[in-house]
Amino acid sequence: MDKLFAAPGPGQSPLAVVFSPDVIRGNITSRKLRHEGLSAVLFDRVGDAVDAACAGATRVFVFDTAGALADELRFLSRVCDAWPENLALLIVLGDQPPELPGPAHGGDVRVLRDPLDLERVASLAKQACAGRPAQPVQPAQLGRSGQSEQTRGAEESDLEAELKDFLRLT
Amino acid sequence: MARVPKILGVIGPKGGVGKTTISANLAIALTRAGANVVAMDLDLGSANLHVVFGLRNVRHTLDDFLVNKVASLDAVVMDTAVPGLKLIAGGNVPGIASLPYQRKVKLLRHLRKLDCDYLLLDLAAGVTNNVVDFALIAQKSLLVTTPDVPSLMSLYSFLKTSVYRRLQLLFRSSGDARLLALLENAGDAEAHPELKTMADFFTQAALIDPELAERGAKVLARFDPLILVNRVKTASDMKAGRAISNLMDQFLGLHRGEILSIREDAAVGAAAARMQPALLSAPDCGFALDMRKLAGALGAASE
Repeated sequence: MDKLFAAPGPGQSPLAVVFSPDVIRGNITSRKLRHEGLSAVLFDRVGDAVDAACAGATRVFVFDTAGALADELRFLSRVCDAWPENLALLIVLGDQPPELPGPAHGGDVRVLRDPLDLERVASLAKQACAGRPAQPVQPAQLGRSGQSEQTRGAEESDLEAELKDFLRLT
Repeated sequence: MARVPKILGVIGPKGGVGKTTISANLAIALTRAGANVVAMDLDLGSANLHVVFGLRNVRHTLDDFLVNKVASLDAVVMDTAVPGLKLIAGGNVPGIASLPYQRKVKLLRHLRKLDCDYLLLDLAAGVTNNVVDFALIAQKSLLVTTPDVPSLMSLYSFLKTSVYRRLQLLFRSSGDARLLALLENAGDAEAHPELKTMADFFTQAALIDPELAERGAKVLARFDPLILVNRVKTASDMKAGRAISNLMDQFLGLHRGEILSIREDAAVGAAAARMQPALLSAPDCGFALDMRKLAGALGAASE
Protein backbone atom coordinates (compact mmCIF):
# COMPACT_ATOMS: atom_id res chain seq x y z
CA MET A 1 0.00 0.00 0.00
CA ASP A 2 1.51 3.30 -1.05
CA LYS A 3 0.57 5.44 1.89
CA LEU A 4 2.07 8.90 1.57
CA PHE A 5 1.11 10.54 4.79
CA ALA A 6 -0.36 8.62 7.64
CA ALA A 7 -1.72 10.33 10.69
CA PRO A 8 -3.64 7.72 12.78
CA GLY A 9 -1.70 5.67 15.28
CA PRO A 10 -1.05 1.91 15.11
CA GLY A 11 -4.19 -0.16 14.68
CA GLN A 12 -6.36 2.89 14.05
CA SER A 13 -8.15 3.49 10.79
CA PRO A 14 -8.51 7.03 9.50
CA LEU A 15 -11.79 8.91 9.43
CA ALA A 16 -10.87 10.32 6.05
CA VAL A 17 -9.05 8.84 3.08
CA VAL A 18 -7.71 11.14 0.40
CA PHE A 19 -6.72 10.06 -3.09
CA SER A 20 -4.96 12.56 -5.32
CA PRO A 21 -2.76 12.05 -8.36
CA ASP A 22 -1.07 15.30 -7.36
CA VAL A 23 0.92 14.70 -4.19
CA ILE A 24 1.20 18.38 -3.29
CA ARG A 25 -2.51 19.04 -3.72
CA GLY A 26 -3.38 15.84 -1.89
CA ASN A 27 -1.07 16.77 0.93
CA ILE A 28 -2.70 20.16 1.25
CA THR A 29 -6.14 18.54 1.45
CA SER A 30 -5.17 15.89 3.97
CA ARG A 31 -3.31 18.40 6.10
CA LYS A 32 -6.36 20.62 6.12
CA LEU A 33 -8.51 17.72 7.33
CA ARG A 34 -6.00 16.91 10.05
CA HIS A 35 -5.88 20.58 11.00
CA GLU A 36 -9.65 20.37 11.47
CA GLY A 37 -9.21 17.43 13.83
CA LEU A 38 -9.96 14.54 11.45
CA SER A 39 -7.50 11.70 11.05
CA ALA A 40 -6.68 11.56 7.35
CA VAL A 41 -4.44 9.46 5.16
CA LEU A 42 -3.26 10.38 1.67
CA PHE A 43 -2.71 7.87 -1.14
CA ASP A 44 -1.44 8.39 -4.65
CA ARG A 45 -2.48 4.89 -5.79
CA VAL A 46 -6.19 4.63 -6.29
CA GLY A 47 -6.52 0.92 -5.55
CA ASP A 48 -4.92 1.35 -2.15
CA ALA A 49 -7.07 4.37 -1.45
CA VAL A 50 -10.26 2.47 -2.27
CA ASP A 51 -9.18 -0.45 -0.10
CA ALA A 52 -8.61 1.93 2.80
CA ALA A 53 -11.87 3.78 2.21
CA CYS A 54 -13.84 0.54 2.26
CA ALA A 55 -12.35 -0.64 5.51
CA GLY A 56 -12.58 0.13 9.21
CA ALA A 57 -14.04 3.36 10.46
CA THR A 58 -13.41 5.51 7.39
CA ARG A 59 -16.33 7.90 6.98
CA VAL A 60 -15.12 10.20 4.21
CA PHE A 61 -13.38 9.44 0.93
CA VAL A 62 -11.95 12.48 -0.90
CA PHE A 63 -11.26 11.61 -4.54
CA ASP A 64 -9.36 14.23 -6.54
CA THR A 65 -10.12 13.76 -10.24
CA ALA A 66 -7.98 16.65 -11.51
CA GLY A 67 -5.26 15.00 -13.55
CA ALA A 68 -6.51 11.48 -12.76
CA LEU A 69 -6.22 8.80 -15.46
CA ALA A 70 -9.25 7.10 -17.01
CA ASP A 71 -8.38 3.87 -15.19
CA GLU A 72 -8.30 5.70 -11.90
CA LEU A 73 -11.64 7.38 -12.57
CA ARG A 74 -13.27 3.97 -13.10
CA PHE A 75 -12.66 3.26 -9.43
CA LEU A 76 -15.08 6.04 -8.58
CA SER A 77 -17.99 4.18 -10.14
CA ARG A 78 -16.90 1.04 -8.39
CA VAL A 79 -17.03 2.77 -5.03
CA CYS A 80 -20.54 4.04 -5.76
CA ASP A 81 -21.70 0.61 -6.98
CA ALA A 82 -20.33 -1.28 -4.02
CA TRP A 83 -20.76 1.44 -1.46
CA PRO A 84 -19.20 0.28 1.83
CA GLU A 85 -21.42 0.60 4.88
CA ASN A 86 -18.79 2.47 6.87
CA LEU A 87 -18.56 5.26 4.30
CA ALA A 88 -20.82 8.29 4.83
CA LEU A 89 -19.54 10.64 2.16
CA LEU A 90 -17.60 10.62 -1.09
CA ILE A 91 -16.23 14.04 -2.03
CA VAL A 92 -15.26 14.23 -5.69
CA LEU A 93 -12.91 17.09 -6.53
CA GLY A 94 -12.29 18.45 -9.99
CA ASP A 95 -13.69 20.29 -12.95
CA GLN A 96 -15.03 17.43 -14.99
CA PRO A 97 -15.76 14.44 -12.82
CA PRO A 98 -17.28 11.40 -14.53
CA GLU A 99 -21.01 10.68 -14.24
CA LEU A 100 -21.56 8.60 -11.18
CA PRO A 101 -24.28 6.17 -10.17
CA GLY A 102 -26.10 7.02 -6.96
CA PRO A 103 -24.51 5.62 -3.83
CA ALA A 104 -26.04 2.74 -1.94
CA HIS A 105 -26.64 2.45 1.83
CA GLY A 106 -27.73 6.05 2.21
CA GLY A 107 -24.28 7.44 1.55
CA ASP A 108 -23.73 10.77 -0.08
CA VAL A 109 -21.66 12.02 -3.00
CA ARG A 110 -20.63 15.68 -3.32
CA VAL A 111 -18.82 17.21 -6.26
CA LEU A 112 -16.65 20.29 -5.73
CA ARG A 113 -15.29 21.80 -8.92
CA ASP A 114 -12.37 23.51 -7.24
CA PRO A 115 -9.92 20.85 -6.02
CA LEU A 116 -8.48 23.36 -3.58
CA ASP A 117 -11.72 24.47 -1.99
CA LEU A 118 -10.38 23.32 1.35
CA GLU A 119 -12.94 25.02 3.55
CA ARG A 120 -15.79 23.16 1.88
CA VAL A 121 -13.98 19.87 1.88
CA ALA A 122 -13.30 20.26 5.59
CA SER A 123 -16.81 21.46 6.35
CA LEU A 124 -18.44 18.55 4.50
CA ALA A 125 -16.05 16.02 6.00
CA LYS A 126 -16.65 17.26 9.53
CA GLN A 127 -20.40 17.08 9.06
CA ALA A 128 -20.16 13.55 7.73
CA CYS A 129 -17.89 12.42 10.55
CA ALA A 130 -20.25 13.99 13.08
CA GLY A 131 -23.07 11.88 11.61
CA ARG A 132 -24.99 14.84 10.23
CA PRO A 133 -26.21 14.92 6.66
CA ALA A 134 -24.11 17.24 4.52
CA GLN A 135 -25.68 20.61 3.75
CA PRO A 136 -26.24 21.31 0.08
CA VAL A 137 -23.47 23.37 -1.52
CA GLN A 138 -23.07 25.23 -4.77
CA PRO A 139 -20.26 24.34 -7.16
CA ALA A 140 -17.01 25.90 -6.07
CA GLN A 141 -16.25 29.23 -7.66
CA LEU A 142 -14.27 32.31 -6.99
CA GLY A 143 -15.85 35.16 -5.15
CA ARG A 144 -18.57 35.93 -2.73
CA SER A 145 -20.76 33.01 -3.70
CA GLY A 146 -17.67 30.85 -3.16
CA GLN A 147 -17.79 31.39 0.59
CA SER A 148 -18.47 28.34 2.69
CA GLU A 149 -21.87 27.96 4.32
CA GLN A 150 -20.22 28.31 7.68
CA THR A 151 -18.63 31.60 6.73
CA ARG A 152 -21.73 32.87 5.02
CA GLY A 153 -23.77 32.08 8.12
CA ALA A 154 -21.60 34.23 10.31
CA GLU A 155 -23.32 37.55 9.93
CA GLU A 156 -20.69 39.58 11.63
CA SER A 157 -17.41 38.16 12.76
CA ASP A 158 -15.30 39.55 15.56
CA LEU A 159 -12.91 40.81 12.93
CA GLU A 160 -15.66 42.71 11.15
CA ALA A 161 -16.83 44.26 14.40
CA GLU A 162 -13.25 45.28 15.17
CA LEU A 163 -12.83 46.84 11.74
CA LYS A 164 -16.06 48.80 12.13
CA ASP A 165 -14.88 50.05 15.46
CA PHE A 166 -11.47 51.18 14.22
CA LEU A 167 -12.96 52.72 11.09
CA ARG A 168 -15.64 54.43 13.16
CA LEU A 169 -18.40 52.85 11.17
CA THR A 170 -20.48 51.85 14.20
CA MET B 1 -4.49 47.17 -35.90
CA ALA B 2 -2.52 47.23 -32.66
CA ARG B 3 -4.09 45.40 -29.75
CA VAL B 4 -5.09 47.38 -26.68
CA PRO B 5 -3.80 45.84 -23.48
CA LYS B 6 -6.05 44.82 -20.65
CA ILE B 7 -4.73 46.87 -17.75
CA LEU B 8 -4.49 45.23 -14.34
CA GLY B 9 -3.67 47.40 -11.33
CA VAL B 10 -2.02 45.59 -8.42
CA ILE B 11 -2.53 47.71 -5.34
CA GLY B 12 -1.39 47.16 -1.78
CA PRO B 13 -2.63 50.15 0.22
CA LYS B 14 -0.60 49.00 3.22
CA GLY B 15 3.06 48.41 2.47
CA GLY B 16 4.64 45.00 2.93
CA VAL B 17 1.60 42.90 2.09
CA GLY B 18 3.25 41.08 -0.82
CA LYS B 19 2.02 43.26 -3.69
CA THR B 20 5.24 43.19 -5.71
CA THR B 21 5.69 39.46 -5.18
CA ILE B 22 2.16 38.88 -6.43
CA SER B 23 2.72 41.23 -9.39
CA ALA B 24 5.82 39.35 -10.52
CA ASN B 25 4.35 35.90 -10.11
CA LEU B 26 0.99 36.79 -11.59
CA ALA B 27 2.78 38.22 -14.64
CA ILE B 28 4.54 34.89 -15.10
CA ALA B 29 1.33 32.92 -14.58
CA LEU B 30 -0.36 35.00 -17.28
CA THR B 31 2.49 34.40 -19.74
CA ARG B 32 2.40 30.68 -18.97
CA ALA B 33 -1.24 30.77 -19.96
CA GLY B 34 -0.20 32.08 -23.37
CA ALA B 35 -0.53 35.84 -22.93
CA ASN B 36 2.00 38.54 -23.72
CA VAL B 37 2.51 40.62 -20.63
CA VAL B 38 4.27 43.85 -19.76
CA ALA B 39 4.80 44.36 -16.03
CA MET B 40 5.37 47.97 -15.08
CA ASP B 41 6.81 49.17 -11.81
CA LEU B 42 4.72 52.18 -10.88
CA ASP B 43 5.94 52.23 -7.31
CA LEU B 44 7.52 55.56 -8.18
CA GLY B 45 10.56 56.43 -6.10
CA SER B 46 10.61 53.05 -4.35
CA ALA B 47 10.76 50.66 -7.28
CA ASN B 48 11.91 47.08 -6.84
CA LEU B 49 9.95 44.87 -9.22
CA HIS B 50 13.10 44.22 -11.26
CA VAL B 51 14.82 42.95 -8.11
CA VAL B 52 12.19 40.22 -7.71
CA PHE B 53 13.29 39.03 -11.17
CA GLY B 54 16.95 39.26 -10.15
CA LEU B 55 17.67 41.90 -12.82
CA ARG B 56 20.69 43.99 -11.84
CA ASN B 57 21.71 45.80 -14.99
CA VAL B 58 18.72 47.95 -15.86
CA ARG B 59 19.69 50.32 -18.66
CA HIS B 60 16.55 52.43 -18.81
CA THR B 61 13.80 52.89 -16.27
CA LEU B 62 10.38 54.47 -16.30
CA ASP B 63 11.96 57.56 -14.76
CA ASP B 64 13.91 58.11 -18.01
CA PHE B 65 10.61 58.40 -19.83
CA LEU B 66 9.02 60.59 -17.17
CA VAL B 67 11.93 63.06 -17.16
CA ASN B 68 12.09 63.05 -20.98
CA LYS B 69 15.43 61.30 -21.33
CA VAL B 70 13.76 58.99 -23.84
CA ALA B 71 10.84 59.91 -26.07
CA SER B 72 8.92 56.68 -26.13
CA LEU B 73 7.72 54.31 -23.46
CA ASP B 74 8.79 51.44 -25.74
CA ALA B 75 12.40 52.54 -25.19
CA VAL B 76 12.27 51.53 -21.52
CA VAL B 77 10.63 48.14 -22.07
CA MET B 78 13.11 45.37 -21.35
CA ASP B 79 13.09 41.63 -21.92
CA THR B 80 13.10 39.14 -19.06
CA ALA B 81 14.16 35.51 -18.91
CA VAL B 82 10.49 34.53 -19.11
CA PRO B 83 9.25 34.19 -22.70
CA GLY B 84 6.33 36.53 -23.32
CA LEU B 85 7.07 38.72 -20.31
CA LYS B 86 8.59 42.18 -20.59
CA LEU B 87 9.31 44.61 -17.81
CA ILE B 88 9.37 48.35 -17.32
CA ALA B 89 11.56 48.90 -14.28
CA GLY B 90 11.13 51.85 -12.00
CA GLY B 91 13.94 54.13 -10.94
CA ASN B 92 14.80 56.22 -7.92
CA VAL B 93 14.91 59.80 -9.16
CA PRO B 94 14.23 61.99 -6.09
CA GLY B 95 10.78 63.54 -6.13
CA ILE B 96 9.52 61.34 -8.96
CA ALA B 97 6.71 60.01 -6.73
CA SER B 98 5.08 63.45 -6.77
CA LEU B 99 4.24 63.20 -10.42
CA PRO B 100 3.01 66.48 -11.93
CA TYR B 101 -0.38 66.30 -13.62
CA GLN B 102 0.98 66.74 -17.18
CA ARG B 103 3.45 63.88 -16.79
CA LYS B 104 0.76 61.68 -15.36
CA VAL B 105 -1.49 62.37 -18.35
CA LYS B 106 1.41 61.72 -20.73
CA LEU B 107 2.12 58.41 -19.07
CA LEU B 108 -1.54 57.37 -19.09
CA ARG B 109 -1.70 58.17 -22.81
CA HIS B 110 1.35 56.06 -23.61
CA LEU B 111 0.35 53.11 -21.44
CA ARG B 112 -2.51 52.18 -23.70
CA LYS B 113 -0.22 52.05 -26.71
CA LEU B 114 1.98 49.27 -25.38
CA ASP B 115 1.74 46.18 -27.53
CA CYS B 116 0.72 43.34 -25.19
CA ASP B 117 -2.30 41.37 -23.98
CA TYR B 118 -1.94 42.39 -20.34
CA LEU B 119 -0.32 45.45 -18.84
CA LEU B 120 0.23 44.81 -15.18
CA LEU B 121 0.80 47.90 -13.05
CA ASP B 122 2.59 47.37 -9.76
CA LEU B 123 1.42 50.45 -7.88
CA ALA B 124 2.82 52.15 -4.81
CA ALA B 125 1.48 51.68 -1.31
CA GLY B 126 -0.63 54.42 0.21
CA VAL B 127 -3.79 56.23 -0.84
CA THR B 128 -2.36 59.14 -2.82
CA ASN B 129 -4.18 60.66 -5.79
CA ASN B 130 -1.52 59.27 -8.12
CA VAL B 131 -2.14 55.71 -6.99
CA VAL B 132 -5.91 56.12 -7.06
CA ASP B 133 -5.81 57.63 -10.57
CA PHE B 134 -3.58 54.90 -11.97
CA ALA B 135 -5.92 52.38 -10.37
CA LEU B 136 -8.84 54.11 -12.09
CA ILE B 137 -7.45 53.42 -15.56
CA ALA B 138 -7.11 49.71 -14.81
CA GLN B 139 -9.88 47.51 -16.12
CA LYS B 140 -9.39 45.36 -13.07
CA SER B 141 -8.06 46.43 -9.68
CA LEU B 142 -6.39 43.72 -7.64
CA LEU B 143 -6.26 44.89 -4.03
CA VAL B 144 -3.74 43.03 -1.93
CA THR B 145 -4.11 42.79 1.82
CA THR B 146 -2.99 40.51 4.61
CA PRO B 147 -5.59 39.24 7.11
CA ASP B 148 -4.57 41.62 9.92
CA VAL B 149 -6.65 44.59 11.03
CA PRO B 150 -4.22 47.42 10.04
CA SER B 151 -3.88 46.04 6.54
CA LEU B 152 -7.65 45.58 6.16
CA MET B 153 -8.21 49.13 7.40
CA SER B 154 -5.84 50.49 4.74
CA LEU B 155 -7.66 48.45 2.13
CA TYR B 156 -11.01 49.86 3.20
CA SER B 157 -9.62 53.40 3.14
CA PHE B 158 -8.33 52.86 -0.37
CA LEU B 159 -11.70 51.54 -1.54
CA LYS B 160 -13.49 54.46 0.06
CA THR B 161 -11.13 56.94 -1.59
CA SER B 162 -11.59 55.19 -4.96
CA VAL B 163 -15.36 55.38 -4.63
CA TYR B 164 -15.25 59.07 -3.76
CA ARG B 165 -12.74 59.84 -6.51
CA ARG B 166 -14.94 58.14 -9.13
CA LEU B 167 -18.01 60.07 -8.03
CA GLN B 168 -16.06 63.30 -7.69
CA LEU B 169 -14.83 63.04 -11.30
CA LEU B 170 -18.36 62.35 -12.54
CA PHE B 171 -19.97 65.19 -10.63
CA ARG B 172 -17.18 67.60 -11.59
CA SER B 173 -17.48 66.76 -15.26
CA SER B 174 -21.23 67.25 -14.98
CA GLY B 175 -20.70 70.58 -13.23
CA ASP B 176 -23.05 69.80 -10.36
CA ALA B 177 -21.74 71.64 -7.31
CA ARG B 178 -24.63 70.48 -5.13
CA LEU B 179 -23.77 66.81 -5.49
CA LEU B 180 -20.09 67.58 -5.00
CA ALA B 181 -20.94 69.32 -1.74
CA LEU B 182 -23.13 66.42 -0.65
CA LEU B 183 -20.29 64.00 -1.47
CA GLU B 184 -17.91 66.07 0.61
CA ASN B 185 -20.34 65.89 3.52
CA ALA B 186 -20.65 62.13 3.10
CA GLY B 187 -16.87 61.89 3.49
CA ASP B 188 -17.23 63.10 7.06
CA ALA B 189 -19.61 60.55 8.51
CA GLU B 190 -19.12 61.76 12.07
CA ALA B 191 -20.42 65.22 11.21
CA HIS B 192 -23.06 63.80 8.85
CA PRO B 193 -24.32 60.50 10.27
CA GLU B 194 -27.31 60.73 7.93
CA LEU B 195 -24.84 60.06 5.08
CA LYS B 196 -23.03 57.15 6.66
CA THR B 197 -23.50 54.71 3.78
CA MET B 198 -23.42 55.15 0.01
CA ALA B 199 -27.05 54.04 0.00
CA ASP B 200 -27.81 57.03 2.26
CA PHE B 201 -25.83 59.27 -0.07
CA PHE B 202 -27.66 58.14 -3.20
CA THR B 203 -31.03 58.56 -1.47
CA GLN B 204 -30.15 62.19 -0.72
CA ALA B 205 -28.49 62.70 -4.12
CA ALA B 206 -31.63 61.49 -5.92
CA LEU B 207 -33.59 64.30 -4.26
CA ILE B 208 -31.17 66.83 -5.78
CA ASP B 209 -30.53 65.36 -9.24
CA PRO B 210 -32.10 61.93 -9.81
CA GLU B 211 -30.51 61.41 -13.22
CA LEU B 212 -26.97 62.20 -12.09
CA ALA B 213 -27.45 60.18 -8.92
CA GLU B 214 -28.42 57.21 -11.05
CA ARG B 215 -25.35 57.69 -13.22
CA GLY B 216 -23.23 57.77 -10.07
CA ALA B 217 -24.78 54.51 -8.87
CA LYS B 218 -23.97 52.97 -12.26
CA VAL B 219 -20.34 54.10 -11.99
CA LEU B 220 -20.06 52.22 -8.71
CA ALA B 221 -21.91 49.22 -10.06
CA ARG B 222 -19.16 48.82 -12.65
CA PHE B 223 -16.39 48.90 -10.05
CA ASP B 224 -15.52 45.27 -9.39
CA PRO B 225 -12.25 45.03 -7.49
CA LEU B 226 -10.70 41.68 -6.77
CA ILE B 227 -9.56 41.44 -3.15
CA LEU B 228 -6.51 39.24 -2.66
CA VAL B 229 -6.07 38.16 0.94
CA ASN B 230 -2.41 37.21 1.02
CA ARG B 231 -0.48 35.08 3.51
CA VAL B 232 -3.50 33.14 4.67
CA LYS B 233 -2.47 30.61 7.30
CA THR B 234 -5.61 29.56 9.12
CA ALA B 235 -9.33 29.14 8.51
CA SER B 236 -9.81 32.24 10.61
CA ASP B 237 -7.58 34.22 8.23
CA MET B 238 -9.89 33.28 5.39
CA LYS B 239 -12.68 35.20 7.10
CA ALA B 240 -10.83 38.47 6.53
CA GLY B 241 -12.09 38.59 2.98
CA ARG B 242 -15.68 38.12 4.11
CA ALA B 243 -15.32 40.86 6.72
CA ILE B 244 -14.06 43.43 4.23
CA SER B 245 -16.61 42.33 1.68
CA ASN B 246 -19.42 42.93 4.17
CA LEU B 247 -18.13 46.45 4.84
CA MET B 248 -17.88 47.12 1.09
CA ASP B 249 -21.49 46.02 0.69
CA GLN B 250 -22.86 47.83 3.68
CA PHE B 251 -21.03 51.16 3.58
CA LEU B 252 -19.55 51.67 0.13
CA GLY B 253 -22.27 50.20 -2.07
CA LEU B 254 -19.74 47.91 -3.77
CA HIS B 255 -21.59 44.69 -4.45
CA ARG B 256 -19.46 43.14 -7.16
CA GLY B 257 -16.13 42.71 -5.43
CA GLU B 258 -14.64 39.25 -5.40
CA ILE B 259 -12.25 37.66 -2.94
CA LEU B 260 -9.44 35.22 -3.37
CA SER B 261 -7.24 33.84 -0.61
CA ILE B 262 -3.55 33.26 -1.25
CA ARG B 263 -1.90 30.91 1.14
CA GLU B 264 1.22 31.55 3.19
CA ASP B 265 4.01 29.53 1.64
CA ALA B 266 7.62 29.21 2.77
CA ALA B 267 8.61 28.74 -0.88
CA VAL B 268 7.90 32.43 -1.50
CA GLY B 269 10.44 33.62 1.07
CA ALA B 270 13.00 31.10 -0.18
CA ALA B 271 12.49 32.33 -3.74
CA ALA B 272 12.85 35.97 -2.68
CA ALA B 273 16.16 35.16 -1.01
CA ARG B 274 17.37 33.81 -4.37
CA MET B 275 15.92 36.85 -6.15
CA GLN B 276 13.70 34.64 -8.26
CA PRO B 277 9.90 34.53 -8.47
CA ALA B 278 8.40 31.49 -6.74
CA LEU B 279 6.68 30.44 -9.96
CA LEU B 280 10.12 29.83 -11.45
CA SER B 281 11.92 28.32 -8.47
CA ALA B 282 9.02 26.30 -7.00
CA PRO B 283 6.38 25.99 -9.75
CA ASP B 284 4.38 23.36 -7.84
CA CYS B 285 4.19 25.13 -4.50
CA GLY B 286 0.82 26.15 -3.08
CA PHE B 287 1.45 29.82 -3.77
CA ALA B 288 2.16 29.01 -7.43
CA LEU B 289 -1.12 27.10 -7.64
CA ASP B 290 -2.93 30.13 -6.25
CA MET B 291 -1.24 32.40 -8.80
CA ARG B 292 -2.36 30.14 -11.64
CA LYS B 293 -5.86 30.16 -10.20
CA LEU B 294 -5.73 33.95 -10.10
CA ALA B 295 -4.53 34.14 -13.71
CA GLY B 296 -7.42 31.87 -14.68
CA ALA B 297 -9.88 34.05 -12.79
CA LEU B 298 -8.61 37.05 -14.74
CA GLY B 299 -9.54 35.36 -17.96
CA ALA B 300 -6.22 33.87 -18.99
CA ALA B 301 -6.52 30.50 -20.74
CA SER B 302 -5.43 27.58 -18.62
CA GLU B 303 -2.03 26.01 -19.25
